[in-house]
Amino acid sequence: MRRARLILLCVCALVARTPLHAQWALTADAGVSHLRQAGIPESNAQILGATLDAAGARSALRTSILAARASSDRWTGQGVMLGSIVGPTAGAARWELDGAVSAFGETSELPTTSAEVAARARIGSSLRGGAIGAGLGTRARGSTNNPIYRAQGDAWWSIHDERVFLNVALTRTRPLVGLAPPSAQTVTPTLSYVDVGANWRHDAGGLSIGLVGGARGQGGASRTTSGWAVLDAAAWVQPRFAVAVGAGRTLEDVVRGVPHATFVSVALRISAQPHATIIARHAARAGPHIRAERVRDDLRRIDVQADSASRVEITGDFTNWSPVPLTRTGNVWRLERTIPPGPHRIAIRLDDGPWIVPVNLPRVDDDLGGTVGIITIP
Amino acid sequence: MTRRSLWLLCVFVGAHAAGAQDSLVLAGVGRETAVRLAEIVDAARSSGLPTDPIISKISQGVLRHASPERIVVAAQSVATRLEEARAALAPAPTPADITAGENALGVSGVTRAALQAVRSTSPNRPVAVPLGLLAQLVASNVPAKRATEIVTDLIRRGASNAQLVALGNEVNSDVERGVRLIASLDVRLQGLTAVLAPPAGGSAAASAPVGLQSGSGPKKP
Repeated sequence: MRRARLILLCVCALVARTPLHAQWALTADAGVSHLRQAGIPESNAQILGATLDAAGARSALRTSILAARASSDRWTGQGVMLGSIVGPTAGAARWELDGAVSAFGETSELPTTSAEVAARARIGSSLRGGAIGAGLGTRARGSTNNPIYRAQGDAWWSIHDERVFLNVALTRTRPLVGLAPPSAQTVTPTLSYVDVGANWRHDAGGLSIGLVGGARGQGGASRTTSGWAVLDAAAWVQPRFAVAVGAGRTLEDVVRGVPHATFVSVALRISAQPHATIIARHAARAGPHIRAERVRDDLRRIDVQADSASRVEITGDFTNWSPVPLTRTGNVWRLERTIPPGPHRIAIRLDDGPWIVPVNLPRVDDDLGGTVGIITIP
Repeated sequence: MTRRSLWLLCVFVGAHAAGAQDSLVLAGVGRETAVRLAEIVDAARSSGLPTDPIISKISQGVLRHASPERIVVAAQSVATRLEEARAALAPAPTPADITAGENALGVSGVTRAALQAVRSTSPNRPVAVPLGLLAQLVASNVPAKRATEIVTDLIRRGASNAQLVALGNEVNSDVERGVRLIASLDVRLQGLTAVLAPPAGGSAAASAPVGLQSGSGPKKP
């Protein structure tokens, strides 16, 4: 237990030393779960949970707590705190230190606590990269303490609104044998297993969907292989309210003492920060809208939506302020040409009228006593 | 502005100084003003600055029938901003980055320090698009300090140019739909950073599966 306290102190010191930006997110869930879990009868449970994420320039901290009350008045509760800190870039790699502490308890059972630290080397960027490392820790139940040894490799990849994460972890520990500590004559077998997992997440337009799955191979006298998969989704119906659903099969979390379970759940989620919603709330203001996108290499496309116009022209720094007519293509007016990426000042004209700024662009002073719009070309 | 004058103005873009001055005179700009404008362009060219932004500003002034004095002041402002942008984006910024930096500095509230912050976060990559987002956010009345923090944080998290542009477009669209600017920023940033890893690990959250689920799941791996 003294070792666990020391590890906890190290984690807190590492994370607390790093000043945190204002980047944080807090959510709370309240709902019901139909649950089949080792050690308790199949039942419906009321659930209450909260997650706090805080991220600084080079650090991150996640704290999650979850409590469940089964119909048979049986309670379970768990809490996990995960923290990490990343060093400055040195060549292609960066070092990372991770820490985790957890507690799991249920009525009429001794709680299980754990604490771990790990060191890893990261390569790549936040969009695409990998890491490899190892760590150690301890887990305890009652007067029984067992060490944890872990080796782990990860890879991640982001494309637009999708993020994929792969993980392989080798864990070695000993089973927690209950109230009495093992005697001098008792040899507690080593428990080793490998978890291979994949995680996909889509987050856009008020809809968040995630799928986690994997397989575990356990060595030793009783070699076994088993799998897990969990699907979760949250639909933000209001900026701070979402409906969250989940279903899946989870394996025993050996380190944290959480038994395996199969579940289906639905919850109302409340967020301290606003989210985009799945429902468009406001009608667009009347007036021409403009958008720019990259077609290929140096070629850029500018589309102007001006439904009632019969002629649309654009002028800007990339035309040397000469008017350039756009071509009607479907329900937009289009221009394709070479435009350097970055900020550009523009104005448009409908049907030989005055030069105006599209309604969806901010306006800036043009140094000549007038105003133009500013657009960023990708 | 006649077609002939416009053509002569285009000649100014690559012409010799004397010929360029004649073009401007024919375009309605007095000889004295033409001399001063040519000096501004030549001085920028001699010091290695891109001259297209200055020529573009002169073109804009001529086509808008601005007074000669106003055109000269505007051209000089652009030249000064180009010099400032080059210094802020040092060392060795590309002409595209200098041009983008000048454009950003032309937005009231964007400072040299903001450009330096963007450059120091991305020392070896083009910064034209991040500077564009910075300029757009400040022009939309996001406080410059906050806008700088947003842009530099997104760069650190590995946001692509397409993602940066999309963020600016979405915020602009929200604002013109009547959504409060800061609320829109919070919403759109949450959505974007949910698929960008934090600069630190965060991967510990996806290590072993947690036994009891409420359907929340990790927000990001």
